[in-house]
Amino acid sequence: MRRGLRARGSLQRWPRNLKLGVGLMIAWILVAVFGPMLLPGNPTTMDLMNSLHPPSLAFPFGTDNLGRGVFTRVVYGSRIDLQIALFCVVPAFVIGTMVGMSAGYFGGTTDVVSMRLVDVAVAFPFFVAVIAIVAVLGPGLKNMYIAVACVGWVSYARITRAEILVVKQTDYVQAARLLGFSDRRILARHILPNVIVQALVYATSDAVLDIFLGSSLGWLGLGAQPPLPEWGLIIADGYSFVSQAPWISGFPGLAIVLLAVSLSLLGDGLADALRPELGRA
Amino acid sequence: MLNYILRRLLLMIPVAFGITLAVFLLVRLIPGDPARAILGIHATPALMAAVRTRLGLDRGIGMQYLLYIKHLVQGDFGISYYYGQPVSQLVLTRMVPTLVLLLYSTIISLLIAIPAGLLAGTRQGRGTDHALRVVATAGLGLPSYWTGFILILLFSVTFHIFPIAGYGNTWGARLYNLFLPALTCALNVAPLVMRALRTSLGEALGAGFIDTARAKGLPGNVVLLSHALRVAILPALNVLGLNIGFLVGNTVLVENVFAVPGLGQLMISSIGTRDYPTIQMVTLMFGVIVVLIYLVTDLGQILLDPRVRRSELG
Repeated sequence: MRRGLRARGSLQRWPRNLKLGVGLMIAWILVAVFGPMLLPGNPTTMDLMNSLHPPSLAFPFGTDNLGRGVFTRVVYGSRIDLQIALFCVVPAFVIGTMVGMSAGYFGGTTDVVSMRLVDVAVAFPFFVAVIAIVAVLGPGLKNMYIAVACVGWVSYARITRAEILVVKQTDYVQAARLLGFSDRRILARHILPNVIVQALVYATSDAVLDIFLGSSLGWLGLGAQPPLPEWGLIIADGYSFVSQAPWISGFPGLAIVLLAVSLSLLGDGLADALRPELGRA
Repeated sequence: MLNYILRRLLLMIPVAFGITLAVFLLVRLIPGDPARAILGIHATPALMAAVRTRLGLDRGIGMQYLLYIKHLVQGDFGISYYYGQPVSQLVLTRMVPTLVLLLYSTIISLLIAIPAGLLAGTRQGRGTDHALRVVATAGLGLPSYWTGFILILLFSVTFHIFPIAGYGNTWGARLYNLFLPALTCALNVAPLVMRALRTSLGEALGAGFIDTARAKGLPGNVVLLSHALRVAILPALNVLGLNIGFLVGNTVLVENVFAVPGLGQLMISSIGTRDYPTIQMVTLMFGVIVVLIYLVTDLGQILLDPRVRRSELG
């Protein structure tokens, strides 16, 4: 990735969506890290005198039925939802690329076994598979991460394997073989840098999916548990007040949309920058 | 053709084997004693013994799986712990609303995506195209349980056009009641199809046969709709087929938003009641639905696209 970006030249030559995506994601990380420190309120302290307040200067996003500021909760929630994206993507990414690499590079039994596993895993819709696993393990974020690691690696494995099958045939890999380099060295130093790009681009859209999943599970009562200010959970809280206080569910939803769009821009931008021939069609 | 279908069906045997194995292992993931987890802390020893025998817990794991397959082949999916009726019966009645919702949202997403894709594809690089792409990116970011909330707020609470929830007894009422749920699902899928159509239309419009058609003096709309779209729609439909898992996952959420009595709602309510046989079979049915839709997509490609037909059928 580093090489690809450098080859594209300086920051000014980055595609517009990449600049926008990187900027927005930096903003999100700043909000998650510093936002809670700067806010005076607490996301879980109830204040029944101030319940169901419409948005105002004191409460930019209004208050919920327990008088908690929705803005404060959404800002604190950014920590949880970014954490969900990270903890869902990283294990799936690591497991998936490793399985895909060994399947594609070594072939044989490794390949057959892992690809049969992939066939089975893709038969179940991602949401359904995760919900089913969480159903037996019990609700909660930790079990959700386990469930995602169980099924989420599949896409990475497929992508990496397909890339490796191509890269394996290239001259520089053949040359490295002829020089007698070990498989480990060839995989790590020659193949990985070239196949990781696709997986990274996929990781951004996977992160969007995971944020959807995490907040959906929170909304269903199977993910983050109250009183955590997870966005999906806040939306669920607001459901009973759809006509009196639509702001409770409205604003955390907007936060999800904005975070999802930021990640999508980052992913589209990365794809455009790394595959210039495919971008800006 | 028949040969190809047979070959595809044969290839599905290992997948079917794997799906049932996955669903079987699912319940074995329960931490601790499954019989205890299933029945709760107040279960009588007799009941626990019955469940253990049913699951074959006193035997090896291989035997347990064979027992499970034997039950499946006999059409015996167990008895729902909560509803007290055979799970198969329960799941079959709940499957209809889900399938209707799937079909309905597919149709709506095509009705949105095809005109939008045509617009964006023919005006690439211009204002309309940019605007549509921005809308599509935003649409992909909409969590369906929240979109449902906004649509309820707009069409049910404010304007009283559509009901907040429900299913209905007649087909007319069902189509009316399911409109908002189907639209909610479609809003997530339509952007994917639109993007694919935009790209493939751009490619098709640059092809030689379009120049030929234009040179013959055919009107622009005829060239676009009966020449370019005919070719460009196929990759877009393929994208739709590939994302069916995503669509099915969304129906689970949307059914819970709008109280549609389908599989997704059954699945979530069964988690609350720890109704493991029901969870197991619903998961299995979702797997079966997705695999069958993949198959239909592949066969559809072969029927519609002579190029694929040649390469697949030889």
